[in-house]
Amino acid sequence: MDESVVLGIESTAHTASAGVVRRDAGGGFEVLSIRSSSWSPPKGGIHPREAANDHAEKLPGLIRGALGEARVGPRELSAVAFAQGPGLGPCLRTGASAARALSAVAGVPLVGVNHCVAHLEVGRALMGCEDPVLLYASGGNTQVIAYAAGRYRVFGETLDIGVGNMLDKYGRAASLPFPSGPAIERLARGGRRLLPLPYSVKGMDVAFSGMLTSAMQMRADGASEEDLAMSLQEVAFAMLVEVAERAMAHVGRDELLLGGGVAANARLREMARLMAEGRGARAFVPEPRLCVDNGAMIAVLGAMMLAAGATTRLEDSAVRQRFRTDEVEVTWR
Amino acid sequence: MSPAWWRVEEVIAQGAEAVLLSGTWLGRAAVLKLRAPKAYRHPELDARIRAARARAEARALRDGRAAGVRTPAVLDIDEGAGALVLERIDGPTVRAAYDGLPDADRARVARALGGVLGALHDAGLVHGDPTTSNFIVERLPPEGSVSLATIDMSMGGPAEGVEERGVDLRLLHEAFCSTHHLHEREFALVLEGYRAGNPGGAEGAISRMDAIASRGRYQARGAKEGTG
Repeated sequence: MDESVVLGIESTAHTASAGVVRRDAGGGFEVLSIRSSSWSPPKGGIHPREAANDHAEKLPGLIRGALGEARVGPRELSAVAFAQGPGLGPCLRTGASAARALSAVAGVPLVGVNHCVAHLEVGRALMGCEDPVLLYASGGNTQVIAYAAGRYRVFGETLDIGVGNMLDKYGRAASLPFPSGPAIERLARGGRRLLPLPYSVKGMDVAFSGMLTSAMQMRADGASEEDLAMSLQEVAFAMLVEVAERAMAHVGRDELLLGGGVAANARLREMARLMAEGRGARAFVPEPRLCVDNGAMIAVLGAMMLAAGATTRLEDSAVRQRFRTDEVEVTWR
Repeated sequence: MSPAWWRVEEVIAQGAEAVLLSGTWLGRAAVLKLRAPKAYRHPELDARIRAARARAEARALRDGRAAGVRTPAVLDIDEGAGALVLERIDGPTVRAAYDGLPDADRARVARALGGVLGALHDAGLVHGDPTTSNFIVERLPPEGSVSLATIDMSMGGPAEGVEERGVDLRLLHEAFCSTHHLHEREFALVLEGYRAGNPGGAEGAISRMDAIASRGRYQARGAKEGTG
């Protein structure tokens, strides 16, 4: 397959993003641009319809910006990729509509991709790992994913809420901005005392609602904000790293890849590196702009699928809110 | 736990969480299970988790034994070091032995496997990680009736709900069929043994096992919580 240039559109949750990547004939990748806009609720959690309205307003400018920075015109694209799921329905539909329109105007194929798989493939394309276990930690998703027998399979996941969602819910109670991860990370640096939050791991699965309830209660009882922030990070991230290690041992892999917005956290990145070192493995930690939801990762997977001939017909381009990782037929590796 | 009581001979297994060493403890054949510190964890959290797991595992083995299930005796525990000293039970794991056994012995082992899980469930316990690597074939006819020993109950413990028992059975089903796929059909014998071991609760747990299998991920799942 010749060189290709693909634009990717991401809009599964509160972030709308467009990114352009170039894939060379040998399968090497280069990110040409990423333009993103994150919607924050004035108060409370994400309202899907309001986020989608904001995405609809921002996406045309983000797409123009990403094409401009990459110095490509719409007709020079090889394909337009979009996140077909999983995610919030109204947000997904907004991104899908933009992608359908652009692909029709430019006269190029459409490629619908799985958002979770894109988090993994961006690491393989740009970080140099071959066959990693992905620890994917974001607001809505918390999964441990690896390739086995022709599919990406979920070896472990949260049994209740995503780790980022847990941090955001705590942040809302503590009047921190949304998303609350960065504010909690800053507060945690001043933490001194580890508070006894419940640690909940079952096999390769984790659960966060117990520690959330417990942290809220401790906060109401006057525990220090800094100690709470540090304890939330220490306990939640230790759970994540432990199940990632279990999965690596189970499937016999020696590469760990981080993805998702929570993977931008410096403490989680450090813990992932320490775990990998401890077992003679390597940790691949993409720069934060590639960990958070972004259009470039959608473009990367789109380009891989395009090279394998896996484009999406218009009639098959409906969004899939519950698009499962292991439903994707992997034809490109 | 005094180091002088303990003599290490060899490493049996190195897992993600613990290392298993064989040796002697006060002259008796024993296994040392050592949960090594994890550098990535906050030291206090690390100590808390290792102590809690050593304690929980010792308790689960003891409770299993009280329910009439053959488990290794807990000889010593050092929570601070995350260490357990266990009786050494000799014999191949079911995983290693099963496919090579004659038909009649396979049937005996399959029934015994179900019987052991049934007895644990009947006593209000779950194993937590019932793969065929976690059962040792200690004895087979003609040396006597079949005896399976149950090891590594570190993920198990008291659980009264039908959901937990269904999950336990489901795990055994997955492990049995993927490891012994030539004899997949013999899982029916495992269930036969399970019914005999858990006469009161078997049907509920078996139908829950089937329901769990049809659920798949991203579906509502029963709340399972394990504390470290």
